Amino acid sequence: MSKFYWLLWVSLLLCLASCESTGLPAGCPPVCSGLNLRGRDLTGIDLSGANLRRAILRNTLLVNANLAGADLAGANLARANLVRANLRGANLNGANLQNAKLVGANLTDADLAGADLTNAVLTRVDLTRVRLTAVILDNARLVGANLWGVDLSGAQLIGANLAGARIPGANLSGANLSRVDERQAGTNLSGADLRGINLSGANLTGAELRGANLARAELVGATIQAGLWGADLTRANLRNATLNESILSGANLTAADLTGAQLAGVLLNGVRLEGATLLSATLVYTSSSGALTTVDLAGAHYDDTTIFPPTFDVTVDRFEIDTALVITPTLTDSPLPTSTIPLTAPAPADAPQEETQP
Amino acid sequence: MVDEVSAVRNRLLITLVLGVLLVVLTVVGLRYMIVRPITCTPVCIGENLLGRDLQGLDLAGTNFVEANLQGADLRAANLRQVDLSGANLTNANLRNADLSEAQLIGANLTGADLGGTRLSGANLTGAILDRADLTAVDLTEAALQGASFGEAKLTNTRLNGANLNGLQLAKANLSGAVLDGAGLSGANLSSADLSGVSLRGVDLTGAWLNITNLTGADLTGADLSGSRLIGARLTSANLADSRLQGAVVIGATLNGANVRGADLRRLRGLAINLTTDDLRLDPVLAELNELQQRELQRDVTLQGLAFDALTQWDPALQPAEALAAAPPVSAPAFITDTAAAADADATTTADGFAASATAQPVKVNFYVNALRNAPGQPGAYEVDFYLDSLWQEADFTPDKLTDATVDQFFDPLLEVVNASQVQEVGRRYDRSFEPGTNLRLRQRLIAIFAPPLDLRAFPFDRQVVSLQFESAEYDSESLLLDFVGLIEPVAPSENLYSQSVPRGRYIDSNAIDPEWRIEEIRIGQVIRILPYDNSAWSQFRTDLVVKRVAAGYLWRIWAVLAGLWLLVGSVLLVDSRALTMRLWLLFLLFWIVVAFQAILTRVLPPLDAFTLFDRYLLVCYCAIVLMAILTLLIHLCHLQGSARWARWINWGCVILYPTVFVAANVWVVMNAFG
Repeated sequence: MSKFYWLLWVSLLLCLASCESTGLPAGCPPVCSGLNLRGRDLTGIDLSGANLRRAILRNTLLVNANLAGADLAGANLARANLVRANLRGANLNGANLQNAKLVGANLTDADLAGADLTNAVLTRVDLTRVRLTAVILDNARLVGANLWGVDLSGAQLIGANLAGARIPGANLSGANLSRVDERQAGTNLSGADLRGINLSGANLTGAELRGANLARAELVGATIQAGLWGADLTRANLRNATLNESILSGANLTAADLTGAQLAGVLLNGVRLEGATLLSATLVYTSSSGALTTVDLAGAHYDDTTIFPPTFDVTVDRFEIDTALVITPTLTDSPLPTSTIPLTAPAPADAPQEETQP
Repeated sequence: MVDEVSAVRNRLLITLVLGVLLVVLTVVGLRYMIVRPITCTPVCIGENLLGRDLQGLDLAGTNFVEANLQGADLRAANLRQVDLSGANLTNANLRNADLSEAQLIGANLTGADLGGTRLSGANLTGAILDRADLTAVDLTEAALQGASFGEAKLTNTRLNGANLNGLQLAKANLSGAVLDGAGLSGANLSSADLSGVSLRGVDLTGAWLNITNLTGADLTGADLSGSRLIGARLTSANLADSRLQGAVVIGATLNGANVRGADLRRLRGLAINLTTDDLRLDPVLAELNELQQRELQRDVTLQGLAFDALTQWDPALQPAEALAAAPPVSAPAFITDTAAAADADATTTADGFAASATAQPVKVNFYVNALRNAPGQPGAYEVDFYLDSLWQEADFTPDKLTDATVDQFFDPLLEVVNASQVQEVGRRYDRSFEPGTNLRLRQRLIAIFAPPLDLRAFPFDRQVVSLQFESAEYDSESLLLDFVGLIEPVAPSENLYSQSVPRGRYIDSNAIDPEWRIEEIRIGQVIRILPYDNSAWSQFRTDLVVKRVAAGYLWRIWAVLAGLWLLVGSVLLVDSRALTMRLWLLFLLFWIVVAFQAILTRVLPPLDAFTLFDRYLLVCYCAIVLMAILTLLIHLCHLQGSARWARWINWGCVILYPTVFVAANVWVVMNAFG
């Protein structure tokens, strides 16, 4: 009798131990849909090809887990640790990955369309072959991430940190890279490689683009009230873009197309404008408070190929552009009356003829 | 009854000693927790290594992405090709670490110590280096796009040719940095210290340089078009052939600047043009109080500018002299006076050495950029300083000050005679505004000195770093050195003339390692006679008196040693008849002292001198031996039946021991701080 009891206890303990080691019920994998594995330690587990649709993996430890080809559509992976997990070809469509850690994860050919990656950590992750349309990446850490040529159209990146990220040729048309309010830090794109990126119609209000490379970028109709100190915008397409109140000190706008762009209140001191087109650009406006807001073109470099709005009489004195327009209210001035400001400054009779700047 | 009291006392003492041991073991345990080797290598993604001691470890190629290394000690660690992207390295100590080809993209290095690190090929794109110490780091081959260096210490860093466009460098200390040919367009350098920095050919278009200190900076050929220089200090700056078109210089000071060939058209220097936006946009200006902002609302000052026919002026700012097409620079009136004075002052001095009437008087000045321990040379100092020689150059006119003609000027050939190694980083001739002189030669030198160090009082020691200058060619008959700051001239003499000079004026406030504190700066002038040929040489010297900051040593070492010393005396409180107990306690304490000495030997740098700590250790050993002898003597008295004598000796020692202890420590403290 006593032997029977002992055997019973030993088998029970073995069963418990085996269950604890995987935490998975019979039949899983491959069918684990809707399973609740919240907070489990599944380090190194092999769930490749498993059906984990709408599974609850909140707070789950999935370090080094093999989830290649797994179906995680609609799964809850909030706060999950997916460091170095293999998610190759996984379906994460509409999955909840808020605060998830994905550093070192393999996401090749994964589908993250519509997934919520708010506050997720994706530092240095290679996302080149990932489907990211309409993904939510608010406040996500994408430092140094590789987003070369990805489709992020309609994505939401409010307050995301993309410092040093490589995003050349990516499609971010209609993406939201703004900030919620002025107290919060904007999306950080400092030093990012954004060559040839498509940001048409994107919202970059409050974004930090210090030293970013935006050469040949498509920014048609984009809203860019951002800091672009020393940014490279060579050959960028900024047609009809709204740049009001932006800072472009020392930026390179060589051969950029600023046709129809809103440039009121933009600081363009020391920018390079050789070959740039500013046709129909709005360089001055009177704000609702009655204060005159103008573009500051002090010390800008431009040449014969630079096209200014036709109302500028550049043949008289090109340098009158900056002196004529930079007449924002001085500390002693009273606010100027609301009026239409002539874009052509009257040339003084003894005005010296300036040479064209090289 | 007596036995019971003794037994209770013994138990108490044993408890005390065991308690001390427990504390020691806890400290050792905690230390182990900090220094224990990391096991996560080579993949330490997201690891929490907060405050860990990783000093000197070989971590090459390790993946530390998003790791928490806040406050970690990574001194001299091998971090080649490591990936620290997104890592938190706030306040980490990376001094002398090798970070070659490391990935630090978006890493947070706020307040980190990166002095002496190797960063060739490192990627610091988007990294945050606010308040970081990057003294003497070579950043020429590092990728720095979008990095933030706000309030960082970048003294003597090499940034020549680097792409620094749009970089955040507000309030950074860049004195002594080399920035020639760097791209700084759109960079924010507001309130930064760029005094004396070489910025030749630098692209500063659209840069923010509001209230920046550019005193004596070399901006030859620099492009400052559209830059914002509100309230900037450009006194004596060299702006030859530079472009300042459209630059905002309201409230700036350009007194004595060289603007030969400079393009100053559209320069905005009148206070009337200052807008509210100008003060609002830059946070450095916005944080100024109303009074400080009001001080900026003044026209640019352009007194004593050196200009020529090639200088292109803004009509509103063109000085009257330029309008009148006056000669560019007239020779100062004092030149002839000095020559006459020199003629009258010929002959020999009271000391009898030759001081010819034809001796060229050369005024000298200095400014110490940095004083630090020489890397890899214990006991040696590296001093980075400017040495200015000013004299009256015959037939000198400012238009001769070109690269082609400087070779024709007189060169006093000053050398640092007591340095083991000297490197001339830069040299530049410039016009001098010092009375009695018209030409200045500025040399930037980095010299290594290995003075005989008196470490007997370590860590309360005080050292003197002496910089001695003499001409390599001209003896006192041909050249006499004279400090520029002397109000009254000092007669040349074999007896050293010495005087203190204000510290703030001749040394950078952040120049010295935190381990040291400048106590005094003395200058000295002497005629040195070489005994083998009786030749006389005019010598100028600068003595930097530095005192070690001993606070850290006091708590970590001195307090422990004093405690051990006191603990040895506690043996006297054990029952005088308990011989074995006393000897066991002494044996235990002996090994604690030995263990502590071993730790000290490992922790402290190798010191040849018999330091204060060595003396304390010796005192501890001597006290243990003395206690053992006393214990045996007292035991002998007990054996001889002289319990009274034993008691008297014991109580005498109980009174005498703490008295000696207190007196000795008071003496040490008095000497240390007195």
